[in-house]
Amino acid sequence: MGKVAREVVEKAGVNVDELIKKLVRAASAEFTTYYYYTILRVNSIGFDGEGLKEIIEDARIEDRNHFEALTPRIYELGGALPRDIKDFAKDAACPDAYLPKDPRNMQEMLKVLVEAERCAIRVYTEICALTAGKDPRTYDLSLAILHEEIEHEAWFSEYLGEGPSGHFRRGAPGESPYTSRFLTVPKG
Amino acid sequence: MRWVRVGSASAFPPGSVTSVVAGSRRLALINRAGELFALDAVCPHQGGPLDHGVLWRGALECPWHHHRYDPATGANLYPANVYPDDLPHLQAQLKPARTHPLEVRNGEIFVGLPDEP
Repeated sequence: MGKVAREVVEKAGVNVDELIKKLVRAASAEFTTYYYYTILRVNSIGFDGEGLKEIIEDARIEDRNHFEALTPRIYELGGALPRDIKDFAKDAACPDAYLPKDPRNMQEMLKVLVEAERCAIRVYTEICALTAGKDPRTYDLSLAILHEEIEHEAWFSEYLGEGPSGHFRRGAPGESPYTSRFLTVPKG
Repeated sequence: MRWVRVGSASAFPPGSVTSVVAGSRRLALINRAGELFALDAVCPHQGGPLDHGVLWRGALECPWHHHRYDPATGANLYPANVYPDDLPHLQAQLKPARTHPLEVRNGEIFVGLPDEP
């Protein structure tokens, strides 16, 4: 724990215990989504060739990167991940991204993916709003993750025919162009 | 049922979610584009504070796990729209939020609550 790191955030008016709960829930959502996207990816057979599979793979690895990036901040602020992974998974900030009943239905799979990304966008928008001007480190981290979640939504939304994403997939799988500078282990 | 006054309608602007106490209950009072609704403040999923939630696309969103509810019916909208029905145990996570009837009388809001024993 960083005593001064926590103290300055408290003095800025942030309820640090509430912030830690939000960060743990966010970390859980990233961890569980990494798991569920693994299942979605292996089942996305022949959807737009292998195009959708590649995009799910980028989002999957970047969500794992988000978990890796969030974890040190939780401990710096005096928080901790639950000892029991079942408690951790149950507390995810976003619902689980289950494989649809018919895994051959691309539209159903895209609906799961885009809803998961839209939930993540709201999670990090809330954390950014909570920490803006008060906790620059958590804000900076959450903003970096938010950038990537917004890109993920746009990729899947494009496949649903909702309009162009405005950008292309990563140069390397799970590149995390915004979050990689927070990673303490090699990314991807 | 008994009717309990919870405040003036002008105190709940469109788009707001407000925590109110009515009798022994904490409620989320919602103004969705001029339509008023009252729901129990405790999220049926894991007990999150719905009265601290936000309106998003017309639905009330719990701040803890981001389940979304229809303010009019209490029905779970998300993740009910993506949870597969071949995993029936998931239905336990999709219980509806409890709604209460609401009336505006002369600019004052009254919520209908069940009689307490």
